[in-house]
Amino acid sequence: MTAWVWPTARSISWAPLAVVAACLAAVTVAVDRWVGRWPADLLGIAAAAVAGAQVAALRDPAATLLSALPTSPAVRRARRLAMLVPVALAVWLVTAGGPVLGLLALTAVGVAVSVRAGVPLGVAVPLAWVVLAWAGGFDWELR
Amino acid sequence: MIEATDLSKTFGRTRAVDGVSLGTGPGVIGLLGPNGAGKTTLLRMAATVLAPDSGELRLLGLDPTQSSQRLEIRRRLGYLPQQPGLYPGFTPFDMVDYVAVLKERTDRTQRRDEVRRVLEAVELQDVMHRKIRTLSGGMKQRVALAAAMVGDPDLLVLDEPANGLDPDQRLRLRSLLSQSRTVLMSTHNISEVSALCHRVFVVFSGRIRFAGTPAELAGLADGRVWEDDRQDPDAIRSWLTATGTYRHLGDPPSGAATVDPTLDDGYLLLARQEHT
Repeated sequence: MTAWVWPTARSISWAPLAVVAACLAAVTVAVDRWVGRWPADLLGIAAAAVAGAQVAALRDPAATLLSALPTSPAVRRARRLAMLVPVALAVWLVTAGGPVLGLLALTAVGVAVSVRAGVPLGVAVPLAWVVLAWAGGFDWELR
Repeated sequence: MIEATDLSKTFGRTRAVDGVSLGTGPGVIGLLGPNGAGKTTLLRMAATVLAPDSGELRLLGLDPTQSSQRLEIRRRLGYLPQQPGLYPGFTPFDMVDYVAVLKERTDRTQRRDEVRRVLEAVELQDVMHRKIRTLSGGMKQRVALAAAMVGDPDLLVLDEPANGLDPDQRLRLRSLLSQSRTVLMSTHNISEVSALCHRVFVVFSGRIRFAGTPAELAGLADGRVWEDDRQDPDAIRSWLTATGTYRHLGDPPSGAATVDPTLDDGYLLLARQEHT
């Protein structure tokens, strides 16, 4: 029943999330030492980075080989996300500690775009969202 | 096994498949055609990966546009895409085992036996526990082929299966495919078609231009192939052969000694007619 768990976990590209986690940890140390709390703009960039890393982790080199199997690409993607999102949330809460719903919204938009238009565009969308919010003078969480 | 009626598929302004109708029974069926002819699009539709824009398709007697029937088809289907990506950190055993898991093989012992069987069939038993990133291109192609063969599918859809295989492995592939139930494969290699296929479809610009047996394809050039020691400017095609004589395709001049046509001759004649 759960024979898919270990190979699915191994098939995920964890490197983008690991790199973002390391960067966030370093920034957190710096923020704690010199600023005290994360500036809102930086928090937005961090959220976009974590969301983008999750989308990047969905890149699947074996997608075409696995495309005609009874387990559909949508199910495989859902399984991968079920493993990725808790880890990303943990990274987010331990480092930046920002709003969880905002991060989930950015991730959802990135994933939705990646399904239709490919992973690179899906990665870019959360960052574009935050930059547009900043340029437009509104909050990236749309609160 | 495969019944297609008036299938069409368009990408942007390109009509990749244009009103294709074909029917096949069991055996090995070859799709021949130049690059960009629409072979891969046809195969992706036959593998349930791509839905046609119009027309009707039935695979193994089922309708792939209905999700429950598509699931049933996928349980009985093996698909080798043209550029099958693999996970470089997996071993061939892990990769094929994962495919078996996704093919709903739940019994661990039976699944592992099946994985060993297909890896042995493609002669990868000695490297089945090596990382895929360390394997040659031909070995990777065989891993993907083994993945397509998991569960002994009723229908195998193979896009250029001999890509990257050495002559010895090509022979092995022929023997493997000749034991399969129904195989729909695309290839550029005409010798593969003559050695393997019971039936061949030639595709140009998204349309089927020929359907028949390999002998019938060769027969198209009956009486239209001749050889001599000089190039013939009036021939449709002339080329120098390994024996040092020129082989010509077209309307032979009077007195020319025609020779038996090959599959290449029939295909080249069709290709020429397509371009004129």
